[in-house]
Amino acid sequence: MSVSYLPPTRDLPPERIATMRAELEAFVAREELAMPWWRRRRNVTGGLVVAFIVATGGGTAAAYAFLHPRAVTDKGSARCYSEPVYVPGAKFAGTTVASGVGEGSTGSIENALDTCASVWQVGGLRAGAPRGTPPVAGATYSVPALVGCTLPDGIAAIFPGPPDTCDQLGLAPESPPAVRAATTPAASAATEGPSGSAP
Amino acid sequence: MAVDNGETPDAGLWARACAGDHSAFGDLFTRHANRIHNYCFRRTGSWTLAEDATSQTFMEAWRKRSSIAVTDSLLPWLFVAANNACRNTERGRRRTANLLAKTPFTQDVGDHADEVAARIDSERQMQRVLSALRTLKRADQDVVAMCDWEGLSYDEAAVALGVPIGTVRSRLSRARARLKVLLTDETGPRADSRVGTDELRGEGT
Repeated sequence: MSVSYLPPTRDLPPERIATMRAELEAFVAREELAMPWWRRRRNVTGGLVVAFIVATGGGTAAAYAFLHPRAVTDKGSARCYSEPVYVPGAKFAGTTVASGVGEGSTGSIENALDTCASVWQVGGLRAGAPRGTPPVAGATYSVPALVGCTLPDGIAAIFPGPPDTCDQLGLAPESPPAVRAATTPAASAATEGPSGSAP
Repeated sequence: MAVDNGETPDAGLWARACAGDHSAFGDLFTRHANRIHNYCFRRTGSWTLAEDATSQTFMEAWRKRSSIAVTDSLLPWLFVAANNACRNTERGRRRTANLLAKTPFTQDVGDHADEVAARIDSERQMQRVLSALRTLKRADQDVVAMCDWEGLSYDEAAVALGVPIGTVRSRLSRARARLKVLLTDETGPRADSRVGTDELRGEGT
């Protein structure tokens, strides 16, 4: 818009925009951390509602971008969550599994679902267990139903929960779909051989 | 990682941002930063304040995200948030100016002369316009800034400001007439600085 009595416009230098953007994203992350959990949930729902309105009103790419399965693009690590809670930028309950390096390693995690299931199986993740409770060596633990989602930065995130957990958390489901049924130690033993007693 | 390739509509990025995708919100910032920066300059008459107000605008949009339903462009909502951010920034400047008035200080002069001169010239020019604009009612100021200066349609301005479209039309008509008198009086009868109706009329339809 050009109005003759106004002075000419000026653009911010690109590096200044980049700095301001970084500060803004940091602010957003801090705001979310400071927000009570019940409001975080509402905002996730709010995002879903916006996506729904956009999808039904204009058929734009919003719902596609939000709910459509996405392939994992960063296979250098995977996040194994011990509870179906996702707060962007915050510490999470669970563990990050990094790909191994050196001889024999592919340098990437090709199946994050199985990797995280293994962590559950050896007691590395235990739902409801007090933090810091060490697993019993040699024991096999229950593995809950797991589902793979893809984080905005392309990393796989494996959550315990039903197949629609990603949608509930506002995350894209992993593509191809990564879903695993719950297994008990007995069921594991039947398919994988004896491996100790369940705690 | 979200990539802003210029094809994803604002509504799509906004939906992802509300769902926790910070980079989508960052993409929206990168897309609209310069537009909001210039808008804030036109509301404050200061490039420095405009930069602060630009950041405040996006922070405010984020805080209000649950009440913003974006179906097309985010810009009208950003302009409304910018109106508030600019007023807050202006208040802060007045407080600081009052404090500095009581404190001895030396004025720094930049040595990148052309750049500094251009900034100062544009700020002086804008301050003259603002001194006229600020004699109008606040609601009229917003309509002029959004429709005439930024090119929003009457429909877009009406939705963003939460008023009927007829109200936008009447405010704009009243404000243009008043501004024409004020700016013509100030610039005088010289032909090279005449402010006519055409110059005051935006493209909002």
